[in-house]
Amino acid sequence: MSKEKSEKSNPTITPELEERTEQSSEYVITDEECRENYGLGLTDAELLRHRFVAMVSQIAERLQNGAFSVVIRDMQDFGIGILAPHDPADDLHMDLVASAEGCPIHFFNLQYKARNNIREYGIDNLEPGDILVYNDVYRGGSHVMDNQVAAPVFHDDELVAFINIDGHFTDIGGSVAGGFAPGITDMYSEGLRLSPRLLFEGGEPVKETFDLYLDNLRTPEITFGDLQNYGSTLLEATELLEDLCEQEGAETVRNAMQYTLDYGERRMRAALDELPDGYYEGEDQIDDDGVNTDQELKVKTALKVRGDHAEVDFSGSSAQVQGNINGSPSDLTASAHIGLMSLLLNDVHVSAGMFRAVDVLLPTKSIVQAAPPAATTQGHLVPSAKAISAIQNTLSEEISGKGVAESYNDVPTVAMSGWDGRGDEPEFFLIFQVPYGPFGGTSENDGHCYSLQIMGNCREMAYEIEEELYPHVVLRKEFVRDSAGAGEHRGGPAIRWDQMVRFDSELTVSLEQMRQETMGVEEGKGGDPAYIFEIDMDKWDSKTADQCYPADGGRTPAEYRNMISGVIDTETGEIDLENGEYHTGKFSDKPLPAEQPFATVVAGGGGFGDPYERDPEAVREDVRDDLVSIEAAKEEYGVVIDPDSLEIDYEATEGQRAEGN
Amino acid sequence: MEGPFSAPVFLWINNILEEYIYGLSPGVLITAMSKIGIDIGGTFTDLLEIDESGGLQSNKAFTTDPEFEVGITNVLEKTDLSGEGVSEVYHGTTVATNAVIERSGMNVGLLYTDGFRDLMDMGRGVRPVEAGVDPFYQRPHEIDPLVPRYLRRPVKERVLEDGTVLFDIEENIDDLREEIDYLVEQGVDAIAVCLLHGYKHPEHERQVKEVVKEMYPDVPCYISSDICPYPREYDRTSTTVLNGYTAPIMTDYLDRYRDAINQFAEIENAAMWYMSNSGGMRTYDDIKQRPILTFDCGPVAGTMGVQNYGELLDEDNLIGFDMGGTTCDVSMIRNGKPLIANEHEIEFDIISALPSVEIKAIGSGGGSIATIDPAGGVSVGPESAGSDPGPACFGRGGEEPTLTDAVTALGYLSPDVPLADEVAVDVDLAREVLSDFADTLDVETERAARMVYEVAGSDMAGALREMTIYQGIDPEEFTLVAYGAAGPLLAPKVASELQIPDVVVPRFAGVFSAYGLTTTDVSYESVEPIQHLLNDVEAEDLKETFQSLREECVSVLQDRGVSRSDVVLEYSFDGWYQGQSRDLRATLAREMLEGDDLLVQMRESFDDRHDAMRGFSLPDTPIRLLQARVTGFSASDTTLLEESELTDDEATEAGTREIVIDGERVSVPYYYDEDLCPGQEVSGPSVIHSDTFTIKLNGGQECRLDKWQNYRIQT
Repeated sequence: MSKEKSEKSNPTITPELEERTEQSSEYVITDEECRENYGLGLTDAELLRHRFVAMVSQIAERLQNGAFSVVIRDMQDFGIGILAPHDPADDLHMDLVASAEGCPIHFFNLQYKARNNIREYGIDNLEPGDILVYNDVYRGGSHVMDNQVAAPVFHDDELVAFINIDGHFTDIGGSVAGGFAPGITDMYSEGLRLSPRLLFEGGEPVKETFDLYLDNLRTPEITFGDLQNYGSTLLEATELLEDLCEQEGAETVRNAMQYTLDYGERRMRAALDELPDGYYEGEDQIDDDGVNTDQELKVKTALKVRGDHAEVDFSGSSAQVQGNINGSPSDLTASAHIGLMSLLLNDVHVSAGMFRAVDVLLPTKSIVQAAPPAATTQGHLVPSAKAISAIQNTLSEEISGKGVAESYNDVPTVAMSGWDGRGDEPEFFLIFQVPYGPFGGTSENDGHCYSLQIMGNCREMAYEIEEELYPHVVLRKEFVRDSAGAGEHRGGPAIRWDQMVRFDSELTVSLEQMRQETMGVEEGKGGDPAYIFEIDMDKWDSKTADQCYPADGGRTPAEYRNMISGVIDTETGEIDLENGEYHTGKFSDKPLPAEQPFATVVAGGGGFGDPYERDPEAVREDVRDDLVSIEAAKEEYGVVIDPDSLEIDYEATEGQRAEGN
Repeated sequence: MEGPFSAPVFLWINNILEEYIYGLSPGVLITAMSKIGIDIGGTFTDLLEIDESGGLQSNKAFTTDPEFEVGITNVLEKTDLSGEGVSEVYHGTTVATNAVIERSGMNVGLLYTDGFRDLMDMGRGVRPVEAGVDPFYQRPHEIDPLVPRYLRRPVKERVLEDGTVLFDIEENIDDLREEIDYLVEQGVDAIAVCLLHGYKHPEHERQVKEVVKEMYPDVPCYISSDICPYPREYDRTSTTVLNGYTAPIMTDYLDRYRDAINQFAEIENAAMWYMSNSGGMRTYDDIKQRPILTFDCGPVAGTMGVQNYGELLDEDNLIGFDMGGTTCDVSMIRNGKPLIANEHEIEFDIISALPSVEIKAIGSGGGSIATIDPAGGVSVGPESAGSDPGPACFGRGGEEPTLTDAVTALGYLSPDVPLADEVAVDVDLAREVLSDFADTLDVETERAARMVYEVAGSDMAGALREMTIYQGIDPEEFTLVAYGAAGPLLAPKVASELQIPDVVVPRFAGVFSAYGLTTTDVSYESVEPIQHLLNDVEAEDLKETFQSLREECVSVLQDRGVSRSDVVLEYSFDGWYQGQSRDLRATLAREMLEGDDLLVQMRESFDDRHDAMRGFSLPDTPIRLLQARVTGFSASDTTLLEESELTDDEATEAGTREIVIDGERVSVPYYYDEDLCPGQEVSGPSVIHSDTFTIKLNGGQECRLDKWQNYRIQT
């Protein structure tokens, strides 16, 4: 880890911090207060707070070691939480006490899903060794592929906590393998919906529940392994917490949970207190819902800050739609918290204490809180991503000196399926990809170049392995020149994949951020929009690799053959957001001929700050590195570079920048 | 005699080695009398000499970065080399690791398959857990590139997984030449080459290497199929780039090192071996060609020392607990062997993807800085005061409270016993630096010190839990071996927390990595990629593969002077259940390779291993066979330690002192290491001081000196 980074996330006691600590000293608790409030010293309280997080890491390791689906084991598409018991008299409401590994959206929304389902099943009906399972979107879930398992933890016959795992299932039945299928218009086609029920009873698998899964899912072997693994992981996990209660006393553990939640609340309030009071409005666009492709949609946010309290109001967001991009209240509430925490408290393990200082308002029958039977599979991803970026953007514009521009801001899905003819007998294959992309420039640095939108955090498989397993060839995974939003700190460049399948196949895609540039912040420019096109292989040449667009300023990819998705002049292939024709990026089962390569380009990150303020040396390095063309260096950054020596012409640069301003 | 080789073999080895290492004709006959280990650490360069009966001496000198050989000369000058003669010098060097961490390596160019220019910046696309919702995050390679983008140049070629050539390199040789010219014009010191599927179809990479060699014979060129013949394009690229980045520096250093050694007539003819992170000794040429083998080899040497200790103490399961100024390294010996990881991570997601001894490092050491957040939460590390300025109590200008300041304020370190005769702690400075911290929380300084001590101890217990309990291993069945300057201080506490019953503090805990070097065997590994379902391969083909790997391994080891009869071979393969993607290594017995049911045996071995490591097996699911491997070691006996008579005399305390235990000031006895004799016992609460470490015993803990003068603590 770099020095800069560790300094940031672990502030030492510098004069600045000392000042900050003094200012917010009302949020620091003394040892004596700690003993009064929680009956345990600050040292023990702190140790237990750390211990809860470590316990989640331990559960995560166990879950991944035993997991059978790639999404759990490698991609970490899950969240794990230790939840407080339900005891309103003590202000405990199954709150998230600790989480660690996995995808943020999964553990930020974990408690909302848990509360509804566990209470519907009945807390008093639970016995030691029981494990509940549920996935219904309209009972507090996210999308139907995300199934949650919940284990009550008992100590001396008293329910002391829950340990829950929320994980993605590779398939959940329904009309399309894998569940992600633009064009679906109701929840009935999306997959198996489960009200809360026992998966394990007294430590033993419940046959009816297993059967329900195994009879309806396309991947019974993987599902069987994963369900078993959820059970055995949770049964071991509950023992961990039981042991802790045995060692420390159940009362102490409960008090430490209170302490941990209150600590989270104090952290959040201290951070909100630093924000100036105000009413900040933001919004972000969604290209379309994949059904009514003419209609642009939006997520709207209003952030109200008063003292150490905030409210996020989504009123004004689009009404719910026919397509499958409708959001759920648990996801959107989680997204509001992710948006705020990503700027205010991004170095802390989350707990529900941090949520206490923030109220979230969601209009009903809207794209942020749909009513049955709306389809929601892509809705877990798209409105959530947009909500996070709208909040980030608002905060970044309003708080001076700290902020982030928009990322590629999508969680795209690309699936290719067909019959693999490499062996003796054709075999069905399904290649499923979730393309990563760049982050926006920030007040501290250029945008991070490559990971999942901030709501997720997964590890990528290697193409050398994918190509062994599937009849698939990736020809390119590379940055695109001149695609990043310019800024004092530029965004991460757009990323382009060229790939083909070796046999006739079908292509299913959900891609966003094609109708708009990504948002820049504080005079930073937007990053290029996303698009997909068919490649003319005869013109495919490495020299066009970095440039995707030729250097003459035109925006036609050199090896463009045919338009698939994007806002493009269909004759020339030129990207034209104003006059071009929009072709949706959300479609299912488009024929994909053998060895016909296509390019997927995700959006470039937005820029932060005035590009004319960018250090000319940094611009020169970008030119040297083929990330910025000499023309763009002059036009966008006002930096004049000699084409032969690649040195900065300082005099001309000064002139150019003076003129530009 | 003891040691890796029997005497006659040894003479012969040395003849071979002379040729191998120096290119000289054999002539001088040496009898194996003693072995020397030289380990370069962050602050000190340690030397330990051990003779065949286990008598030993050790010394320390300051590490001299970047001219490390000066520190080596200094420590050798401090050492009396007048014994019976030195047969071997084992070296653990941090040159490559430092070059990467400090980004002081050389200019390396990368030739990649056209279309994959940005793998180094993208990595595997995952953010660290602590950056889960941090939009400000950047990967280390984005911030400080090892190979900047303009030095990454395309090769127009593409081979598919089945060997189909999609784009032929032959048709693009002129372009290739242009790119190579460009790199050399830009002043690269080395060229790394990684082409897609090159690990099993290396022809294009070899062609590139030929072209480079023909055009610029002086520019070293490293191809991924030589350096790291494993699948996964990012992993292999990262490994090959790291190798190119560090190789020129390593080559340069190795020559300076040999010159330093050659100044000393007593050792200039000794065989010279170099520690690798796979847990075996390698030759000059190995390390020169693949400096990545030396990443973190110091801590690995410590682990090998723990393995030897296991043999000495007749224990199969041990945990190595090595704590210095900036990090705490935890490793494990299970069933007598170190755990092997598939990759070694140098910075987040910057990896060397060769198998190496697994070390779990956490950024918490004596110099780790304690911080307090706006809501009063406390953490210790990973930011460290390092050795300069060091903790405040060292009186060298440190202004932030560290773990060392906390234990000093608690009275565990003695102001009267300077560390390595160099640094004494100042209690007043320690208390002073902690007072701000204490004021913020409105507690006494001593309570603040205790918080820091407890939180650090809890973090270390956490690292131990990750290595053990998280993997389904019960730490109660393990013995904790504590070393490094700060290891013995925290070990009894951490062991109690994890209910580890026995702690051993080796007599030379302060120079333990140097000791580990002298106990490590010579080794070599041969690997062949397979990439087929187990059901689809012919047993006879596999047998042939293992046979040729075996021949390669044996012949290399013989070249290095190991006699045929001393070579111990391990047969293994990596695989996964079809659909998985994390490699798992399973072993095979020699008999299986000769039997008729090899495939059945492999199936069983893999299922068993999966069950042991991951808690379940799937005997009906196809296994994908990734690679076959033969690892060879020189068979060696346990390195012995000199034994002493046990005494019945009571231990004599040096005095009593007030220290803080659980918030209370208590008067406890303290002892000096030099006053204690084998057989004597010390009870906690008490403190034992040596010039390289301090042991703090808690109430109820008993400590006895065994016949080798190790401290054996019952928690």
